[in-house]
Amino acid sequence: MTGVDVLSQFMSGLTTAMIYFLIAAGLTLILGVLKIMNFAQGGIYMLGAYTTYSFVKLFGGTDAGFWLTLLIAPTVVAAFFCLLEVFLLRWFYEKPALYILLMTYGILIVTYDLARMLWGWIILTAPMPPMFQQPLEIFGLVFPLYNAFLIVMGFFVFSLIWFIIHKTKLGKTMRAAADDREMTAALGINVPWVFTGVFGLGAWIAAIGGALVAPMAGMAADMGVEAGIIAFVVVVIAGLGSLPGALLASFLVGEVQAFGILILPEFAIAFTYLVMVVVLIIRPWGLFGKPVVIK
Amino acid sequence: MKSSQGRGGWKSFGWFLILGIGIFVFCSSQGNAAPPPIKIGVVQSISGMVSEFGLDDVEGFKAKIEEINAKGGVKTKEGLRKIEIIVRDDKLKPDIAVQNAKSLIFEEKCDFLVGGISSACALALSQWAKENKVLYWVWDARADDVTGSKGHPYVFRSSGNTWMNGHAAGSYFKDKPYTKWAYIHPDYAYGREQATAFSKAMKAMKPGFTVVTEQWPKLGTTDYTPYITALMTAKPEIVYTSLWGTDAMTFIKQAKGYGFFSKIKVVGLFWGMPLLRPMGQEMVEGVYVLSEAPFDYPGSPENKAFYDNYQAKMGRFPSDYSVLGYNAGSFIVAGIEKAGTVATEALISALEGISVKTIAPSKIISIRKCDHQSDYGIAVGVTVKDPKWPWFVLKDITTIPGPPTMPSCEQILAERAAAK
Repeated sequence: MTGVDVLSQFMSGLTTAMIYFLIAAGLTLILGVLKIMNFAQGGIYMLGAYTTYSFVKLFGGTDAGFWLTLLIAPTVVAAFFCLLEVFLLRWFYEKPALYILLMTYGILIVTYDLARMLWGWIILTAPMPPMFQQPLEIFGLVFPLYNAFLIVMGFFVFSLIWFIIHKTKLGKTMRAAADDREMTAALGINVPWVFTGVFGLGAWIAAIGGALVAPMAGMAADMGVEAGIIAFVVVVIAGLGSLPGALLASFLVGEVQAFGILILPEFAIAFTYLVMVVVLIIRPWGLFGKPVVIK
Repeated sequence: MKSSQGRGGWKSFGWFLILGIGIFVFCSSQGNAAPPPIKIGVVQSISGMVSEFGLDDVEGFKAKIEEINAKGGVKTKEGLRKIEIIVRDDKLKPDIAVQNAKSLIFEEKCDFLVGGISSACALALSQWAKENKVLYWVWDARADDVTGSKGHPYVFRSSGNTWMNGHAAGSYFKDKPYTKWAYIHPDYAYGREQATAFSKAMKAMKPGFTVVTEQWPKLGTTDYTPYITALMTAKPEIVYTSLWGTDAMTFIKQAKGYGFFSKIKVVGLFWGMPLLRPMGQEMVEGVYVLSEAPFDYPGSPENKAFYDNYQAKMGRFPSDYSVLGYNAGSFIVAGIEKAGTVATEALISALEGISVKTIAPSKIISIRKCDHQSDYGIAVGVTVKDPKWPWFVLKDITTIPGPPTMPSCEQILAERAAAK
């Protein structure tokens, strides 16, 4: 095994890490601010992928069409889920947590059948845009250009969200609403709309994750199930509600997976969960999580 | 006079009414002289990643049944009987499969059961069929056990199994120069069995055969890049894979980005129409494919009719799975005609050793008596672009006949005895 092979495996792990991050980041955001475990997150990811397929096909599989699709498709999906949040989820914020969990799970099941209704039973894939069909060569390593693009987009999304949360007034409002809902409302801020905004943002991240994966994978209506599990595992490792945690956790899981299968390919199926078990033993609240204080 | 006439009038009218009703009933019973339809219960997985293939099995079967019904039905001792099909989705869950079976046999009064693409469901149903003495025809589930160690008189299988697939591949690749192989298979029973079957076959037939690495991604993995780079690091000459459906698509798309296919040869098990059609122009040339029914249009007149009807109904051409369903239908219809009845024991005897003409690579397939396994063959070809179609097709097709690839009857009987 040469240095180039190790670098190659590292870069593959990074690709996996970024996909996991995009799926998980939205979940952790919604969890942190709205304090709800959004079971529908995998479904949003899946609809993002399918919508991207339709738009890419609409624009004829061109490069320009792809950029347009990346702008439009996740926004459409996020807007749709914002509507769902306003009409379905808002009623349940004040109620016991179980209602919202059931509601998001119900939405997940509906998205599955919605996908089947709109796109049918057959497997689909979005064509790879022509500009990405050449591989990249760095230090003698061949690396797909699209993977590099995906990694860059992952960092971009992370930076964008981090900037919104920590450097804008909107972000300050979100953090305030997350910490103390009643006080924020007492200050005259329209908390329900902040919540809708956060939900929409979380949905947008998942949708763009699906959009970016669409040209590099086959799509089935149940791809959201697998994604949902991954998102959950990553969020647990990260510490509930932590965005930098989600990035680190995704990176950890991605690289352990990548190098694990080089050494012990028999256990490929187990590595993600192994990381979760080890982290939870060492830090039960996740890498960046805060211990829960029982008042 | 008037009153007696009136009373007599009503009495006569009453008699006329009774006579009229009697004639009417007699006439309608004459119209219903045709015997009742045969009811076949189909338990199939039409959920998740396997939806499209499960559906194809069913639609291929329906195509054969509709053909027969158009001729008035299948010939039995009671006359021509049409065939009615009731389809239930087991959602890939064995307990739901068994529930469906109970409902189809006891409530819907089906005569026997057909189906099975998930081996887990097929095995559960097979066990139930054995206990309840119901004929169960398996058309697509591949686990060897179905007609092997867990086989019994009431279960039949018209598709091949993993042992046959592995040995067919082995008999083709023993003549090729490659010795350094690598595996990438989905990590569940099907992938494991396919790998084992191929290893067994090649170890016996190909001196110098080695497997330099085995990769076992989870079913439904979104990102194959680490597996792709791990395969490339091990530097095999050729890769054998049973990845299917979206997994196969994802693998190919991501491997292309690494120039995988120009460095390493690939053998895709069952990478026929269901994969080639959605891949379109994104597919790669020069990939070895094992397919039970390579795309063949127009082919023979029966083939063209089947393809055209399927396209008209489903909006797409039939796949390997449609052909599997169609051939299952051919077997069953032939069996009913030979037995003259759908009574279980008589039908079982008729089906043992029966042969039918098919639209599969081997033109005649038969059911072996010792284990009720069909000797379905498989074709090996190489992918190539075709200007006539928006998808890639197979060239240099070699058909591997089924019978030499099957485990021997002695082996089967020994496995069944050991399992008791």
